Amino acid sequence: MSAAPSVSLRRPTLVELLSATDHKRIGLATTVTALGFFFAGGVLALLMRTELAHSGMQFLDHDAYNQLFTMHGTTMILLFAPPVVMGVATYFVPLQLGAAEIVWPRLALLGYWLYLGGALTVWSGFLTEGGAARWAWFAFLPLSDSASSPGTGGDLWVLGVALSQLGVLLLGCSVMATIVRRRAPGMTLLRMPLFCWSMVATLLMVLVAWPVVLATMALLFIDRNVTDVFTVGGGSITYQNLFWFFAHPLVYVIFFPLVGAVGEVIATFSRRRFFGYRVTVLSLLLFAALSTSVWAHHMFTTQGVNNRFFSLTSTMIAIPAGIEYFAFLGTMWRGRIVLRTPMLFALGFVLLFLIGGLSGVFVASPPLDYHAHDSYVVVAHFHYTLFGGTVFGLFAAIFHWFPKVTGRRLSEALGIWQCALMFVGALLTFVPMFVLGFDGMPRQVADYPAFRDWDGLNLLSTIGAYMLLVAFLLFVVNVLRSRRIGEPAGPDPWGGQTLEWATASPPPRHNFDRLPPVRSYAPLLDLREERSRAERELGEAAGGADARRAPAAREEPAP
Amino acid sequence: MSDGVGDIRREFTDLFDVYWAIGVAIWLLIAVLVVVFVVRYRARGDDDAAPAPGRSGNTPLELTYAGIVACIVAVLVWLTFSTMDDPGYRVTAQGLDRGEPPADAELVDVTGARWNWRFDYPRHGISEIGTDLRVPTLTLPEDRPVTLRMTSLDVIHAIWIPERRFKQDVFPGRTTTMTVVFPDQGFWRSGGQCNQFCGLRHAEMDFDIRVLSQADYDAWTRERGR
Repeated sequence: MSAAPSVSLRRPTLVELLSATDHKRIGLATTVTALGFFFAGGVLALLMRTELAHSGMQFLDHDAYNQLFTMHGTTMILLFAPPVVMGVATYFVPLQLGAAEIVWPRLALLGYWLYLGGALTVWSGFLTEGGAARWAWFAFLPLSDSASSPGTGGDLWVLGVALSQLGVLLLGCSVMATIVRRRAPGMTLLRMPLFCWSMVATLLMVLVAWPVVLATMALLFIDRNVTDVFTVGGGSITYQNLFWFFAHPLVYVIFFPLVGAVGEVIATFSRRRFFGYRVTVLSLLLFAALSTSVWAHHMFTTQGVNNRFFSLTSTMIAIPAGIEYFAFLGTMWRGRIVLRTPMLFALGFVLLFLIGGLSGVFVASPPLDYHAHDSYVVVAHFHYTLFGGTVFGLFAAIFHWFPKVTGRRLSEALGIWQCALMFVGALLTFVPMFVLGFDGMPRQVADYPAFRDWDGLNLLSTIGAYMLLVAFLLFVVNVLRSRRIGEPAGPDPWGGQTLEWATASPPPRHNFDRLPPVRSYAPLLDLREERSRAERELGEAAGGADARRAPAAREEPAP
Repeated sequence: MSDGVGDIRREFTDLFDVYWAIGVAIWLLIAVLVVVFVVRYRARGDDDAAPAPGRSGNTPLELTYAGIVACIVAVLVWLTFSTMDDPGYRVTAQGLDRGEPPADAELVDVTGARWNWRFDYPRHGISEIGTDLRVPTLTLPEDRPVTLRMTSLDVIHAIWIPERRFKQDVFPGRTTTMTVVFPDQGFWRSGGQCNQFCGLRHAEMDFDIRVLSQADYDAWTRERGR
């Protein structure tokens, strides 16, 4: 296939960049903005880890610390993770579907602007007189009502969360409509790449859960500024039910897409078709369905929910999750594994996310959760899902797709260093938290008494956090290096299996000149296998050259 | 240990040991498989991009595997539910966990308010509250169930007693209960702590726990009481 000509070589102006309805522009803007918030949230975490390195208060006061962990959690869970997966999906779902554009591009663009505006609104709380919100990222009532937490910072938090999540919802609607209506000829639902299927499951959860957070934030805003809404009777329990009905599907929304992306990375770098595609698709849908019935495992200690029911549903999550792991391993089994950076991050995801998943089974048991709840055990658990899962999966996706987006490669050497530092850093930062939590250290505290003997483990954790900082700085260096001297990637640097690798890097305005036939969920692998087979037959006819090492796959995929 | 009153800490540990062993075993199994596969199936030379042969799925195998995972889940859920039916939990965890405090349990009314605790012993006319200089002390009799009837004056708090492996949220406008049994005498500095973020000085909202023999406890109630 010939590389499609670029529409314009002129650099776009800022206005063009920010008002473009091309899904690649919107997706890239959303992803880069979200990564910016990831770095900002990471800085807040480092400030907290620095304070926690020793017992006693060193350089923060309680009030500042309370703002920091509120904004760290809010930023990472609401302003970084959901937008970043929507950004990646907005960029790559149309390419994987063989579509020229997304459905409702202006809606998606509005979604991006709402997200950016909402996120800045939340952060603008730091500029107000009373400071930012200080009620943890779940803003339980009555702590978050106007009597207990007066101040503009709190109102900005409520407004900003609502606006940014409305933006996420609109971006999601656009991606979902694209999946329904813009698949290439021949691409039936069961020929969609795994990443697209993981987005279907993700977006089903988004469509169920996100309207609930919009309503909850509206009610919270009314409660704070107009009249009491949640203050009567079991109002504080009602708020928790509403919030977690949104926020538990939420935590699956922010790693499902990475399960899909990691699955594709593992398939690509094992040189095999993804193993167990149909059962995995089914397990993703089952997982998404279960996700709406597990929320109250955050409420085991409230004496207000049926713990047995939510324990049962939450533990059952292990079944679809286990199927996905089986598929990852099945794909590697008897593959031809190539350890490039995307694959290294994917393997990091497999190993570290597993810690988060297994500790999730642990906290799904009420007798165990009565001890672990709101302790550092839980902090360690969800950082293995969100850091080990979402962040490692995201970097697998970024290293995999960066050459497609920019047309240039990243440095493998810097990437390996980043991955190694992140892996060791993630163990050093979060494993001590399991021990601390088990020993009685509660979360969301700026200080702990010296007599507890928690200084050593906290210091280890802080050292790990600084290793993570170094890893992310290496990534920034890698991106800057690639922009200057990165070698051209060509259309298909990895031997990809899905349609985005059948066009130029970066893809032109309408993505494709012509599409290869789509006969399975790995159309480019089909072509490569066909060519291998044909050459083997030719070779046998000509007297038996070594067919296994046929060079066919190194070439660009044929149309 | 008095009849019908289980040791919740021991029950926690029994259950924890099973979950911990299964979790570590699964993690090691998968980690070893990942390493073995990477070593065993590593491509010879990075340039080898030819497709690997092999099937792309095996539905009966996958469903069998899913069945095995489902069996592990069933066993874990069964163990969890059995623990919730054990005496220690039936005494300690109440509300929808269907627990019942024993009729002869000692009673303490607990009131949380930012950022202090008050313990009222209605049968003895005792009231204990923290000051600016020291946190309050919860005094309990040894090896006897004590029911804490808890409420809050402002926002949500929670009481976590790590030594007993248990916690319970404390709400304004609602009463929640938990029954604790300390099998042995002792003193736990900051042995109880607020475990629901409640604002500025949440980190310091602790209380000490002192467990006395029944005789010493009786003497203490006579001395402190009306």
